[in-house]
Amino acid sequence: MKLLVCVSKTPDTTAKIAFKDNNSAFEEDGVQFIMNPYDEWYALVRALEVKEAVGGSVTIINVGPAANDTIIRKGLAIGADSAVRIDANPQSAMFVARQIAEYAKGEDFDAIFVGKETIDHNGSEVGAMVAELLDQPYISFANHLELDGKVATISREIEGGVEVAELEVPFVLSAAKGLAEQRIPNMRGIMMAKRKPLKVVPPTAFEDQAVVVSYELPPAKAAVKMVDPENLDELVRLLHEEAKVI
Amino acid sequence: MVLVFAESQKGQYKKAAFEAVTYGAKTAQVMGTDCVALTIGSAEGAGALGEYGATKVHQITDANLANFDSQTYAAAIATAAQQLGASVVVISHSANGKSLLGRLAVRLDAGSVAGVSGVPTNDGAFRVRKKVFSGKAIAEYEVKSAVKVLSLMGNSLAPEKMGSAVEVEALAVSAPASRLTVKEVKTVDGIVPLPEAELVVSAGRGMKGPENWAIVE
Repeated sequence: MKLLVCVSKTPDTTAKIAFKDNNSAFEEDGVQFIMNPYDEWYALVRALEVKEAVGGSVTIINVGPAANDTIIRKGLAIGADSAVRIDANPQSAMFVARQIAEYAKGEDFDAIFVGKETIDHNGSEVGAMVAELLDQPYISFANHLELDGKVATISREIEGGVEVAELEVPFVLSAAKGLAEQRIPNMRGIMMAKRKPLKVVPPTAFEDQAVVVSYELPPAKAAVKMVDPENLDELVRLLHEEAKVI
Repeated sequence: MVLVFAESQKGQYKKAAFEAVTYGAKTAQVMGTDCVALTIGSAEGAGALGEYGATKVHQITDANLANFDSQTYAAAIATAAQQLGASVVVISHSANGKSLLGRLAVRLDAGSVAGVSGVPTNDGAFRVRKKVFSGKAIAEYEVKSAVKVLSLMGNSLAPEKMGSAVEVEALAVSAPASRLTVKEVKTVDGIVPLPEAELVVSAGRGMKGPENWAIVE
């Protein structure tokens, strides 16, 4: 089974969110970057589990500058066999998807795994775009995957429940919580990652049709009101008159 | 024209569909055009989408669309958008909507914004806002393409009645055969799914034990 896992670099979940250049760009100074958790914890680990069960290879792909090599090496340390970096600044979901699809077209992958969304732009678009560009089926928000030869049984989250579907490879899948358990790279993996191949590929030209022109921070939240546990009348009054929830 | 895909589940429209039509109608007002709703399958009360601002409701019925598959649904919605000459396509940012948006953007060669939370502005440039960084910031996007595709974040605006029920017109669009087989759909009836909840109440250790959970419920 030849698998491709798409990984993104995102600010750490605890990073301070600030902007620069007249609020037109994210302020990266002092920010710790990580591999997008949905890509790492669920998409990558499940792909590795599949490889360990049935054989094959796992390649990770990232669209980004050389600074992204740190998170790519982490993916290799966790267990991916090889990596590809499309050498371009990711401007939009469509830009990223077109780069991934262009690379994947010539490689004949059995399945492509992405995280359900990145924790910065929260778009959830790339998987569907890659699937459409490659004319492949797409299962989003997968929380369980079983493979029997070339046939996959996948359950996905829907509103108020789950849906179970069966399909044949090749397909694209977006990974949600439950698909796998996070793996921590061990020392052997970290050492081996340094020797694994990381191929750098020039990007395909593409003009973005939807771009961020400015950012702003939301209004500050009101302070929490503490209510004495004995003062239930006051709690009821606040919920009724201020929060308007009862 | 603004085309809104009104999503239904088990033959019923949920709040997200009415939100999307309301959003589509407000977007159409901004753009000086009409809002048209599109429904797939035979959901009950499709004409009532007119009450939320749709001037027409088109219905696609095709055996290949009996179960949701983003590939077949996107093909049908994109074909409908092209047939009807839509300049903006609005869908819900639901589980299904999230798997449709990217496909529609590719099919329609459109700029897309996922999970928008505000009605667009169109004074020379089409701009729309959405929450980013898990709600810690708001981004304003400019969409430059002739056709634009937007998914509306749930609970971003309240469904608003601003019209009356309209006739449902059949739209001749055929979908390709699905390459996946839906084996089972398990949903819990009688409760509000979390994404549709208008209010989420969080309770923790202070409740001491499950026997006290009823107080919160």
